[in-house]
Amino acid sequence: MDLLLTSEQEQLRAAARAFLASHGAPSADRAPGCDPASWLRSCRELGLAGLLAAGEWGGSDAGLREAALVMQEGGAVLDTSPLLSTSLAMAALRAVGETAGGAWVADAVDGRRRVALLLATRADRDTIVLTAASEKGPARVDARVSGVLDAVDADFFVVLGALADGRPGVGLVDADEPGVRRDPLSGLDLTRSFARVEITGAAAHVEAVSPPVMDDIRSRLDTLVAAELVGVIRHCVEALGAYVNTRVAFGRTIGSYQGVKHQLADMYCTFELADTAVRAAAAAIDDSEPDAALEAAVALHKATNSALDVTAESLRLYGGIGYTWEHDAHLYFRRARVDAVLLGRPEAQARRLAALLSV
Amino acid sequence: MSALDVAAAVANSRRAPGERAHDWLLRHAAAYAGGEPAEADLDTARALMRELHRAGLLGVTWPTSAGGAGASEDDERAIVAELSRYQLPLRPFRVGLGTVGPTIVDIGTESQRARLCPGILAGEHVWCQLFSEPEAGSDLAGLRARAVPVDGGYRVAGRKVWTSGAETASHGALLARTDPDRSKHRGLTMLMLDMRQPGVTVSPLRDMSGRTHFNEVLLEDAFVPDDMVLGRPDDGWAVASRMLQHERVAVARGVGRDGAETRSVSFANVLRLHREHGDPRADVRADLVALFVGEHLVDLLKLRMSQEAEAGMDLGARESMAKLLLGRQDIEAARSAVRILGPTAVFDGGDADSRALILAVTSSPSLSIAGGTEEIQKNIVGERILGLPREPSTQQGRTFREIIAEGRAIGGGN
Repeated sequence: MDLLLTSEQEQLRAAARAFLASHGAPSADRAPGCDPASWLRSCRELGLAGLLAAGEWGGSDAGLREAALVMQEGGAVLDTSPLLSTSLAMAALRAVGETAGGAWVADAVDGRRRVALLLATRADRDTIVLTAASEKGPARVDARVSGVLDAVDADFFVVLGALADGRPGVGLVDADEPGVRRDPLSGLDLTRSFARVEITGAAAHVEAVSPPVMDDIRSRLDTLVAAELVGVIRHCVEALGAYVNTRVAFGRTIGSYQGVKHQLADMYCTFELADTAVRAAAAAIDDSEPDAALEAAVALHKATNSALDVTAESLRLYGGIGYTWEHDAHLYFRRARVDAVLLGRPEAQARRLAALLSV
Repeated sequence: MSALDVAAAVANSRRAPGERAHDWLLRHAAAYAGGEPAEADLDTARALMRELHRAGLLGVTWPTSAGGAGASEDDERAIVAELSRYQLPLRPFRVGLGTVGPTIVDIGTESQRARLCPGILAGEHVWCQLFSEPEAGSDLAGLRARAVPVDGGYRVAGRKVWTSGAETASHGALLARTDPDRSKHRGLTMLMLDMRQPGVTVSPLRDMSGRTHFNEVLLEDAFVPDDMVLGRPDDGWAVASRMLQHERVAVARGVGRDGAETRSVSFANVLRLHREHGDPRADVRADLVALFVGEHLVDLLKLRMSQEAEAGMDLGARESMAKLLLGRQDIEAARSAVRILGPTAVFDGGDADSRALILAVTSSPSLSIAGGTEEIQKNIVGERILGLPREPSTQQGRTFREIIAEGRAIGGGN
């Protein structure tokens, strides 16, 4: 398992870092989403939307290693573009392989149309039923999902669910189809938009996939979200490190006090562990290792818990300034909490880990 | 030769010593290829050292005048990568090979290299480090052992603790104070002490696990000749720092750390014991997940850092981070084992499993203390990686004698 970066990967990271810092970061008014022109540029000039898409649809056929690096940069600047939602959808489509949705993928890669991913994260309320085409009628999707990232502006949806016979499947639904309803949700993360989505009998393309393919999709989703969270953690350590090097109290910069310094050292260690876990997960997926699902679940588990901790601890270490509306610290705090439940609650992730370990 | 040919040639020359080591170990070290750490008596270990040395697998970068192979660091990396696949019973020679030897090579005189290094490589000399004292642990530079110049050398007196291997050592790297009227770090000298002389008394020190892996060494008027000063007199702090740096590299490369004690609180072993002896009604899934994740994360970090080291990257202060995390994982794993196994972990069932568990639990704090406590490692991570300022010292600009006088006034220390 190779955990080192190639020089090409380092170049990609540097390019993503430079671009996202100036185009992805939240606007001064903290409104959700980013400037549409910026997103088009990141699709067309940097190819960020197509990182995980197949070459034949205009994508760059990159691996999870590359995608995870870009996601980390997004997390670090609190990216507001549809980068994460697009990547999640692309990861799901890529794992399926040949689909009838190639033209849709090409549109999303180019940025002409936007895509969002639907998956059930609440066992009690979310339902997704995929119906394949048969003599009884064309393929359709019925879904009710309580919180979907970037659903408001999506032109189509990738839907993960199960067919009537219990087999896992993937659906593609045009957002303009009759029966698709989106209710915007406001919530904790001010810089991203979410919606409740209801789809009733909308015409769709539906394909059954094998359980291993669905596991592979899940591993990809885990790793991408984990990578964004690692970016959040990294930013917290860097920004807080810079602050405690300048803030003076009792005649000394507060970073010289061990009470502060040691907490930052702990945060840094946490960052390295989570970063390494994401690299391992991405490597395991790219190299089709048998433990890929486990590595990905470990990465998400670690990144989630660490981001929840680090964003809270850094608020405390900033003192009063970090608790102000104008300071960015609370935006990272908010992002960490929403990302923590994006793919299901941490408790459900831990149960999945236990199942993967057969304990 | 095109650029491609050059690259291929470089890659090949790099691979060759590794392949040589690989073949040699296959033929000569098969007994140590298993996963279990091997214990061997001193004579067996010594014989293995001689063979390894003759095969050119020890002292790879040391000059030939010091008994080494005079090869490159790339060669050494390739060979160390092969050696680390085996559980070679070289524990007694760890300090000589990984810590003192490389320092003698760096800064010893030509005569010292010729006299001392071949003995290390051939397994004839066993070295120990005489650094820590009852009142100087994390604050090593506060040590009090005195070395007084006399005709032809130094007379030394003092008390050293936590000295592993002193009972078998022939030589000791002794950090002692030669000038108390200079500042704390300035008046120290690194002396190479003959351990087998009157005035050197070694007594075992029992640790909390009940074992006696360490010693206390009492020095009463022992003698060190002038030609056994390593580096310049009164410059011992720099020499000690260099030694500790070599030690960290050796530890990071896995030379010497066998992890035998904490093996029984590994996820795999705890899960096996839980299935064999545990309470089937207890819901220990969350604890098992925590144990697995903690262990797996440090394993991944070790793998990443060994790949970085092999690629020639400078790990710098991240080695302190690794030690911090490994030490903490030992403690967390022992805690998880007790939570998961309950009574099985705390009562001696009369079998090897339960004795090993009790040993693992009671030796779990050792790595978080040895070689610098967690607090010291956190200072290093904070200052060298994150660039945070050092805590201002109240001892700046004062001699050691003044510092000691003040210490008596504050703490009543002796």
